[in-house]
Amino acid sequence: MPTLNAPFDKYQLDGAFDEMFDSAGAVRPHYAPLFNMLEESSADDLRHAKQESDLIFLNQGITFTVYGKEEGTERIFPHDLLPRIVTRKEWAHVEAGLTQRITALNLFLRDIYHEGRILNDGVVPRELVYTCKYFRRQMRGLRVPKDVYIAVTGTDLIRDLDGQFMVLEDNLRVPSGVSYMLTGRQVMKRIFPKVFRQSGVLPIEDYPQILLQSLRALSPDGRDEPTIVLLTPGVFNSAYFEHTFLARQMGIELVEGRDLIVHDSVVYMRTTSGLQRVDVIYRRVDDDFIDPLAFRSDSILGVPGLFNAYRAGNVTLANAIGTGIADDKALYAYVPQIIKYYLDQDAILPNVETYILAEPSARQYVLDNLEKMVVKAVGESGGYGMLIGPHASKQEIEDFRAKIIADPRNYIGQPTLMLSRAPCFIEGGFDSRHVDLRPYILYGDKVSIVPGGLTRVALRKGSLVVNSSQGGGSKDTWVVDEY
Amino acid sequence: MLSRVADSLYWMARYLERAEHTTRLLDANIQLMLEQKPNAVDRQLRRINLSLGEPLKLEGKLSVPALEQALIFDMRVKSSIISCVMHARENARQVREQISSEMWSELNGLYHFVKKYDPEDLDHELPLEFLNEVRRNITLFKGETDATMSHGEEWWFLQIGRHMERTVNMATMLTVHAPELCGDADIEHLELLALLRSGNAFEAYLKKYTAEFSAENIIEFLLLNPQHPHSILFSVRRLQDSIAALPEMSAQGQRGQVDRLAGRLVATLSYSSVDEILSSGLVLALDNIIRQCVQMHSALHQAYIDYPIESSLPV
Repeated sequence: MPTLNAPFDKYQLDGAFDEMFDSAGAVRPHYAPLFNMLEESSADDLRHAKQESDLIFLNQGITFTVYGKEEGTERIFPHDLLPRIVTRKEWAHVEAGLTQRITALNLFLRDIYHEGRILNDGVVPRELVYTCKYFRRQMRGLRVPKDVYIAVTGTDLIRDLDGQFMVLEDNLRVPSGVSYMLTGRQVMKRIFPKVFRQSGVLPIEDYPQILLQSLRALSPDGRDEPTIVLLTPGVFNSAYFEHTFLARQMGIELVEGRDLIVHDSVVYMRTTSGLQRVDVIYRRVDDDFIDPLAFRSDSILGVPGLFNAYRAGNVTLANAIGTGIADDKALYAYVPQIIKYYLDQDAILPNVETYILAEPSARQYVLDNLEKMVVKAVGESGGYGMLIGPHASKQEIEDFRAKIIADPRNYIGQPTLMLSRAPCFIEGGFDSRHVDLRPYILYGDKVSIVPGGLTRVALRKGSLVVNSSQGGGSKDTWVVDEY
Repeated sequence: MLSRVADSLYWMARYLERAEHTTRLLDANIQLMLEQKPNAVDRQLRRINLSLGEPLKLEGKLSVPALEQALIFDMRVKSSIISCVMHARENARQVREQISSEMWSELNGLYHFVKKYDPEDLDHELPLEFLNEVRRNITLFKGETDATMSHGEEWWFLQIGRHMERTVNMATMLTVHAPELCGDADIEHLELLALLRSGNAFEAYLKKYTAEFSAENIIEFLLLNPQHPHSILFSVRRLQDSIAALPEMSAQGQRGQVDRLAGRLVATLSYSSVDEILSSGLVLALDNIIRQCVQMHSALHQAYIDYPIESSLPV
């Protein structure tokens, strides 16, 4: 076990892949500029930098909402001072893998809502698709512009013990967090300009522009100068800051359901200059709530008649309705086969080994080894509805056992993974914390991914949960030129 | 601009103007009441209360600290400073991306300042410092609004909200004082000063009329002065200018209706004299102003916010 010199003498280095140090305790070359700066800086300098960074976040109102509290509902998103750094070579691999994966998942969505070839060929069990609560039979036979279902994806990647990137899950419905990626970058440039320049960081600032181009590419036929809007559930949504941020960055209107009207299957927004036709809706509202006539009738966030306008081809929704079927955690296990089926390629980015608990032998194995497994509810996100065996009490394990036996289709099992760790600035010193990586994949005319993404970090020591609702924070992610 | 955004901006400005009105009423009267006899204090408390857009429902006798408490801190009182500031901030939050960061920061700061003040301090000190700080904050907000926001449609909706509220508030306050101003009831010198102060008009009045206080002059100043920003004539002229700056609605010419109402009110006041108004009835004239403001509010709402769909479809 190598030991490190001050100021890294308290740094935990065992048991996981470390982003900054190799197994012998040497600094990886692409981390050298950052490492040198950290060695030269006094603790006071860094504390000062941290305060400055927090202040920028606060002043810009970069907050998220915590549910269930009457007051002080807006909080700053915790942001770690030190960037997480990835080489251009590693990134090229990730980019190729994600492009392949998203292309295949999009073909899969096209297929299951039309011919269903993959089901007829028995590659993916029909049962699995039709029992998924995100499967929308209303989408059957409906053509979407350019056959693109998933304009925006956020896919969560982790590294295994050898540092290989693997896909933990896909978010194909309404992934969030990209505003933290963009604002985190602005802050880093101001705090660490020298290291930033030395490292040769690839830019991500054109994300809003590429997003806008992708949305434009998906406008309905014959609408060459489309009016594009961002549909938010409103000010009480936890990602409201992000919605206002993106709308401002793209220069499009931020609308709520009550601003939109459907008349003769055409969508309009109510403006002070009269009704204005809307062509593309970048919607940050879930399927269930988007149209009370077509889906949940108790939704007050949606627009009555919107689905009819969508069916008529008069408006584009991005993402399309019903994409959630492809990020169902049980379907996730089939993604390598899906890639093989449509593209005749092997998956570039591997999956985490996954046990489908609807299958008796897999179920038995997981039930026998619950204390070593991670069990997730298939339709939940945000770290809710999840059992982490090694960290759970006997009672929690028994509760989960009962839940699995009662409704096996609702759960999957995975081995407990040791996420990679990256250096963090914590309480005036350096220590390592587990991280993942969420790149954002845009799909309009083609698939594009800005180099980087949101690195989420589990700020509690030893914790493997990186979700913001569960004590997670974020880091800027730098993709840097090779040395 | 989205209709919802216009609505939020309009109400944000109205609530802030209302907060300012309550602040000024309290500020102008608290010192006055220190020098008054108990029955005069009662009368004055009743006047303050009725000068609010929505008076408190009072049971029994009202005390000075109780009124202060209600008008500053009571969330259930619609005209209280805290409730107006909170509603203004809620509206601002809904349109956060439409207003400048400076505006948000001032309004947010004001909200936290008001929330921080401890109601128990009222037991042993006058809240003059507090009221002054609230007034300063609102003024800063208005300054930031003019300096950091484009003077486009959004800005004009703020102007409409502010002057609509100001017109109604001034008319209500004058109505409460109408019996005294028309000579039907006694009024003390100090009470006249408080009225002028409540209208932000004390020093400006002195410059025009010197320290001679007559009911006619006070009415003339608060109602018909063309230059003082808190007079009713000044406010309705601003209202008319702001409405004229709004876009023509495409289909049904609804803006014409709002224009017409504003123009009629401005014309009535522009060509009135104080003698005429007094002889035909001050209360009647003020009632008319308030009624026309209500009509303008509805016409504006129908033209820009909640218009019927069929007549507004693009051609």
